[in-house]
Amino acid sequence: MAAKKSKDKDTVEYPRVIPDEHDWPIYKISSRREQLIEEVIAETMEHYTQQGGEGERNFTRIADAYYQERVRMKDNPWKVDRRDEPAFWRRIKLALQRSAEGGTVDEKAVEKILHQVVDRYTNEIAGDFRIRTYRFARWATNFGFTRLFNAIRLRPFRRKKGEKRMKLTEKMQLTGYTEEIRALSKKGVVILVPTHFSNLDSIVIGWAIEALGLPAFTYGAGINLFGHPILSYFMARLGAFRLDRRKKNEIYLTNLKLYTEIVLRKGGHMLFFPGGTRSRSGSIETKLKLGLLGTAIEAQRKLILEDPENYRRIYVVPLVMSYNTTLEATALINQFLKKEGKERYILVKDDFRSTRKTIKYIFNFLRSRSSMVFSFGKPMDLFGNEVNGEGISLDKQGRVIDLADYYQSNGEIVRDSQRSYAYTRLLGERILASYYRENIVFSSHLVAFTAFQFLLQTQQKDLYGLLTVAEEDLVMPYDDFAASVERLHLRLREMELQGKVRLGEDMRHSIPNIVRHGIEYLGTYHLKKPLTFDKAGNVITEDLRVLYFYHNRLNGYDLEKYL
Amino acid sequence: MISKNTSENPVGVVGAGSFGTVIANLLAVNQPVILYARREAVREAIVKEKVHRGQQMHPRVAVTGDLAELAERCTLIWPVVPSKNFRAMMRDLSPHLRPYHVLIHCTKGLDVLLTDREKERFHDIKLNPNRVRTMSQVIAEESVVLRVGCMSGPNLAKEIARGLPAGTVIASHFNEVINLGRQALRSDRFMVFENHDLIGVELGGVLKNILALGSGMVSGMGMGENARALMITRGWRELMRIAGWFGSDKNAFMGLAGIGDMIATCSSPLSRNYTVGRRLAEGETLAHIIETMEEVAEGVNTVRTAMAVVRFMEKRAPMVEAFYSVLFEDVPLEEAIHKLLVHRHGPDVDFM
Repeated sequence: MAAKKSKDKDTVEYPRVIPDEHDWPIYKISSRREQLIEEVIAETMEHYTQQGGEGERNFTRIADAYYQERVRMKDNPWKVDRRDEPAFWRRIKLALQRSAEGGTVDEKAVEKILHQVVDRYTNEIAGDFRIRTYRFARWATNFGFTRLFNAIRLRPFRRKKGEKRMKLTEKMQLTGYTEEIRALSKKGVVILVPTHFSNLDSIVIGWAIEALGLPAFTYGAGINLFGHPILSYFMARLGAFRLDRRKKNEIYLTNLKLYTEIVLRKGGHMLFFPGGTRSRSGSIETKLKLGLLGTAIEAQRKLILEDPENYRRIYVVPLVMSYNTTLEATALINQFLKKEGKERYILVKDDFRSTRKTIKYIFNFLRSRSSMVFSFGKPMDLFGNEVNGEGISLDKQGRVIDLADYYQSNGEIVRDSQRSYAYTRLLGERILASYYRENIVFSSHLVAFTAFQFLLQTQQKDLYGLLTVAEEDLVMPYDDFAASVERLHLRLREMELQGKVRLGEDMRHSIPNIVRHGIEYLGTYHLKKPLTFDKAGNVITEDLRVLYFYHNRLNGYDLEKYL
Repeated sequence: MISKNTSENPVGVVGAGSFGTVIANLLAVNQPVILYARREAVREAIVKEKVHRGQQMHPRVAVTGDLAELAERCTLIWPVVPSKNFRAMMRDLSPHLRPYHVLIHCTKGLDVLLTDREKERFHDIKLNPNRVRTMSQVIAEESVVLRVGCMSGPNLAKEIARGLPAGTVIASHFNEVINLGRQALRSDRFMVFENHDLIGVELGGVLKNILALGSGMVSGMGMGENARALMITRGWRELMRIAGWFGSDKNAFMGLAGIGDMIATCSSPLSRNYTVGRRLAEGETLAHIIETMEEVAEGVNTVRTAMAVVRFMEKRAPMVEAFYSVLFEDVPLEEAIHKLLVHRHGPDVDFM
């Protein structure tokens, strides 16, 4: 079923790929949650046996975990931690001591203790998916947002002539390889890997997945988020599994890896921010955390072993989100400068992270005409190859690739973790390259980049030198500024033709319009405008650091050479 | 994993130049080798004479003109083709490659895809370093093979052919590739070291050719060993900076494929690049030298590419600029070298 254009032009509505939630992979996996947990535990234990599960090694593993957990409970306790934790680990410690009483380690006893730890971790990690909760959340975000949005828009003094009720789909556009992704979601497993700029990303991506007609994706959510009663209720039932960044012991990490691996093998689509955390500098990710991608490489290997003739395939879909404003821009860029600049940069205190501000941001976003664009990149297999409509990997000559060939040594499919790691790195590079290609440049990004580079060059200072200049002293004559914008615009058009970047609709206008529009839309939320006009019509900035943050979005394209 | 049948499986060598022939003979000690030669005359000569490029061919080297056959029978393939022809060779080979193939190349050059307009104006274009490819990157771009490595080090073809002892580096992100390469080359006269910084090792081998050229020039002019040491040491620092623009790490430059290779090529008349420099200093023209040399001196093209990158970066690189002006702008050698050696000061070691 292909997407159809609705009555409003430019809005595409996507019917659900799988109409009934009961048929969704995520539901099928979580409706048998107990069984899933059993499987994860069994495979994890099996993993240790294969790794050399002698009593001694397991003893050390548990002892390490115990030690690290004790430090964590003492130094870094969180509200969400279960109350019985100290008691549990005390029991583990005692059992461990007993197991080694005779001077030698009792292998059977140690294995039993390991099983207890694995059991506990697996139960902690495992996610759930409830259809009723999903429906409610969908109603609340989609319908609720739309109501709210139209309520704001329809205030008489705000309404402009000819304006009509708008749908959320018009605010948030889905572009790129949407049809391909919909088709692939039925053929195999999709791992969506988005860029990460704002805390709101996870919420809006959930919406985007729904709007694209895809079944819900599972994702790892920080365990701290489960401390919030309402959030926790939703997260726990929307297919999120729990991640605890504090736990770094081998048993926990292995458990986490095998949990995600098994969910992938069972066909659960997954969402994963490969950048790890939000981009502090405002630039597109330059380095990725590869953890979950490595899991996928191993999951694919096992899928091939299970059914060499007709194995399920895993696809990776990069996603870049473009918008004019990032809620936390001020805080993020301050954290970045503090870390990078060391003593050269004096931190200016800034407030952020209040509920009021979040609501104000959402209000502002909905009220303004600015939109959010989701640019879905070309789907690829785990080795960066293109896939055809049937989901089959093709090489550069269009020949069908048997993925088993990537895992072969001397004609046999073997496990080689160093090789998997090297593959994962290469996949990371492909994802990054895709981010740069699929990035949609708005006029606001262009003016921010131009302005900051313009200032660097005219002031003849380096970054930290420039940041110490008072904003009042930084005035950009309109004509010079517009000329610079024009040069970079030309270069971006050229790059678009070469397929190196994509341009937003607002970049199709005349240069004066691009400048005006870009400045108006850039960082609409911030009290101090990153860019604005003074009375004489010159371009000025009220907040250089935030301007720098938005400037960074176009880092990595070597645009500064064309100014 | 060392199994008996590894030695029964043939390995492939693509390119029957002097280094390709050396590699084929080295490999043939441990397993059968299939050597691909593009030109029929060369294949016939090898089969008939049993001698090629002055080297006695090992009886276990079979010659072929069919890349499909080579890819079909060999999992491990060693491309040894000049950088100028490397991409074209990969395009011919690629349709026969599968993801289980392992490629270890031995080419110390760079690849740049230029538009026709850029080719005409190569003397003043600015080249973004991210448009320059090492051979491993060409392999990745042109084929489905990911398990790629490179062999690099002080390996003067003529010395290895004579059976003199030598060492080399196999660099790859994959341990598997390094082990396969080591296994195939194992010998008591040829030591193999490993490195995981593929790009760093490749760039070390490529860029050091610039210094080999310069070293040949200084020697040819009879400027003495002091001047040569000065030129090489300061030049080495410059090359490491240039490598940094390509995103490479410095460590590989300190190893056998870096300093090691530089020492061999900057002092030996057996090095092609050194020879080009020396003959230039002795008054021959570049065109004449290239015409009369049997094989490609990669350094000439590397200087050209490096200079275009220097222009893009808008940074200074005195050695590259000087050699470029001699090679392509007809600046007299004395003038360029003189400019390089006088009026220069600065920190000694600032790159570690």
